[in-house]
Amino acid sequence: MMKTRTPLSIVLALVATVSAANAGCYADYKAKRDNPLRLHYGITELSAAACSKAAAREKLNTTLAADGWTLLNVISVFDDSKLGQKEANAGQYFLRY
Amino acid sequence: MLDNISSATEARRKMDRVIIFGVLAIVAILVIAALLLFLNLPDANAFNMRVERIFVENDALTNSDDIKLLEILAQSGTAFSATLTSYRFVIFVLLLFATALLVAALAFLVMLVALNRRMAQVERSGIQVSSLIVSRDENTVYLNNMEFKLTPAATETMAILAEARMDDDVLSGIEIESIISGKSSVDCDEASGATRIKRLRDTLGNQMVSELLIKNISRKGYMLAIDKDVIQML
Repeated sequence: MMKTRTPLSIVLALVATVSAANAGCYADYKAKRDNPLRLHYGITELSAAACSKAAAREKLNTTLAADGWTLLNVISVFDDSKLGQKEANAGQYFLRY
Repeated sequence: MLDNISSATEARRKMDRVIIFGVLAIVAILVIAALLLFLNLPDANAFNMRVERIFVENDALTNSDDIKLLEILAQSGTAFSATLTSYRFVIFVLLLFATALLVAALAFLVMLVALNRRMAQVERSGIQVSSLIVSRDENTVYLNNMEFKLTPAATETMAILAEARMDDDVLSGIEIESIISGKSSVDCDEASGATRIKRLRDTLGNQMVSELLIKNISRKGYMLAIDKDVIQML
């Protein structure tokens, strides 16, 4: 009994890590550019290790600033399951920054 | 009536103070108004900030069409703020005009008061001679364009007095008599000169009073040429 149980837990753990890697981590955000005022809604991909609003804010602040955009706010952090419905809204800013 | 006595210099000093304080007050009021106006006018960026806040506060506003609309809104706001700055300039110019007009109005008001006061003084002091023309050929004297016929001797006296006045001279009776008669002053006496003056006074005075005070309406009679409101019988 003990022999079979240990491999099973290992397998379960492996499955969990694989599925976590497949789930992905994304954040949607709002940004602006001044003179004239330009606004955009976009989605960015985050690494699984840094999957939080704070991490997203940190990443976006640098990547957006490179193109002259200013991050307004990070709306939410989500996984693959919600990606489809948000992709259309993001348009050209889907996974751009 | 004693209260009416006031010195002219004192009045002028008072006027100057009124003008200085009035102009300062006007300028101060309009400067404050201009400051309030400029501080209260919305900032050119106000519209953009408002649109940005709407965008941030509504999480559902993620549709690209909605975002486009928000951008257009911000741009129209920016266009309006450009017109606002031109309004600001127009308002500033109008304020300058208002200041100039108010200052001018105050100056005219003070001038009017001073003029009224001087007019009252002139009226009180009686006849004010602004022009005197002596016509020797016609034996006539024109005082303020009023014509007075004199005798040749009286005209001569008048002419001598006028010439002496132009030279700032004072003539005694002896001098007057000697100039008119052509005799040397040793042969003339004071009394005959005084008589000439008396005759001039009588003829001129009579005519002047008749002209100024007692009017003769031809074929009707005589009338006092004054306002009936000023007459008082004691």
